[in-house]
Amino acid sequence: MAAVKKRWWWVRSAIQVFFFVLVALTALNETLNNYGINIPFIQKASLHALCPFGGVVSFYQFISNGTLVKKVHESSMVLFGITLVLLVLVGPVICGWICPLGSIQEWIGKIGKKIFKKRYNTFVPSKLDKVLRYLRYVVLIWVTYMTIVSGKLIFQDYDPYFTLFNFWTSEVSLAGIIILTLTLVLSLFVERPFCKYACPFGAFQGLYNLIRIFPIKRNVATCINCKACDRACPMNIEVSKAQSVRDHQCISCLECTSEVACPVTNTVLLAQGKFSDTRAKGDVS
Amino acid sequence: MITIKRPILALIIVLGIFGGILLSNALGYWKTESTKTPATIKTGTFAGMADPGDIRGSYTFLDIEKAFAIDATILCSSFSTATIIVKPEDKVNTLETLYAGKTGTKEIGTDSVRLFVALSKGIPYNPGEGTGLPPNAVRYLMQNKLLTAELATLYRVTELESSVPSQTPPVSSEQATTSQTNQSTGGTASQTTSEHTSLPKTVTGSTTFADVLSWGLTEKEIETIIGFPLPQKTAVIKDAVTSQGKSFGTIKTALQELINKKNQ
Repeated sequence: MAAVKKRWWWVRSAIQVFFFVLVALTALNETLNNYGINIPFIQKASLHALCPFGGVVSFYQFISNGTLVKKVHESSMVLFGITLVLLVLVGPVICGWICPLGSIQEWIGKIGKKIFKKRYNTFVPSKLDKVLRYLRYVVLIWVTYMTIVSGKLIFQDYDPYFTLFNFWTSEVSLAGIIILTLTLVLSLFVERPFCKYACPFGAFQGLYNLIRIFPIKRNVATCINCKACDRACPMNIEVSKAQSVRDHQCISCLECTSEVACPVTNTVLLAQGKFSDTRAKGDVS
Repeated sequence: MITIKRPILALIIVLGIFGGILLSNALGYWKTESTKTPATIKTGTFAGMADPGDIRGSYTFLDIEKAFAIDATILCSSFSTATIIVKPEDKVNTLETLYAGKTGTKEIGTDSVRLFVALSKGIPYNPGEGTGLPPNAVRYLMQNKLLTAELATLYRVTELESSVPSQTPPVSSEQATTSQTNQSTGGTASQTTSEHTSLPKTVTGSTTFADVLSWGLTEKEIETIIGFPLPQKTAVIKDAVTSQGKSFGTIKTALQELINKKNQ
């Protein structure tokens, strides 16, 4: 079987690095602004202003009385709108390509992979893992309800994303620091632990996997069942058992596709419609 | 079958995000900072007035002066002590840092400013549990008959008493309004009325229509005196009448006479 040339494997990493740096510089700029310093080309904005989750938790207040939850700005609503369009079209790409917290977990995970090799990402017993995957919906419901009731960004004190880019300020809480530390340490053993088990925004986005227009599709006719797609999936989804991946945990990272992990061309794709390719299994040309 | 390849998806994401931002910016929806203008109260007696409950931690004391017509120097002196000096250009949320660890079980921060402004303007406000006021703020409110002794005890942060400067904050006659504050703990309301001769309900250059309304005048009475429909209640009377080409001195006298008559 000839090796398939993987030309675009670096694209996602490049975008992840770009958005991580952009968010870090924006957060730093916010602090420097207090000392009269402004980083060139970086817009003056708080971290909340650049987080679409503010739009999710503000939505009720916005609809009911036209105002936003404290600290949330109109830009959050705009980003929420953009996120919705992307979700319906291609699923949770914000999780897989943009979210800096997801990215840093992934990067630490690379160290974990080097340490634990094949054992990495398999430490949580399967039965427990399946139950824990629904925990993030509990978090989503709790955060949304508490935000509606209090009119405040209740999640800020627990949010590892906020803590990651504000750890040098007095705005972070002890709970936030503990959760961030735990997330980063656990990333050495489990890939994207916060995304899998606790992220409320990930939970919200995950639901769109059920209705997205372009899901991940597997061509059963050409699939050689090597399970390379399963091993590549950071969210432990068994892509090799699905024809169309509708798992609520998919983050649209495309790591399982024929462009990265799958050794057979045009077998695992982000696509809409039916496969017309009925080549013999394992044909890579 | 329609497929989206990796570079195309990257393009969709980047163009979707930055295109959406550019479009919303062009339409005027892209705002990453608050306008420093609190939301207005929608219903009830105070409808149309700025809502103290919407004061954000990012507001400076100057922003609050602009929004609520309360002199920033009064706000700053009320929230200062002998060792903590608050400046008009400071953000409200800096109070949390300045008073950290010095206020016992109570907290002095953004909610304290909301409470102070609400009491000053006579607008009902339910402060959070544990919200406190510095001694200067309590003293100012009590001198202006805006706070009862019972509520003063509830809000006063006794841990700060020893650091209070000998000089009390300046007293503004503007702030001598009726105070009605519901307590989140007991749900009771207190109402005090100014009777102090040195703190009259005096119309000055910074008095707003909301102030004179809270001093007992009706909208119709005000309109009769100023000779035009009542503008926004938070508008400063002097600015409104001079913009209409009228003499503020004459209107001020007429308003004052009516206020005095009603409060006799």
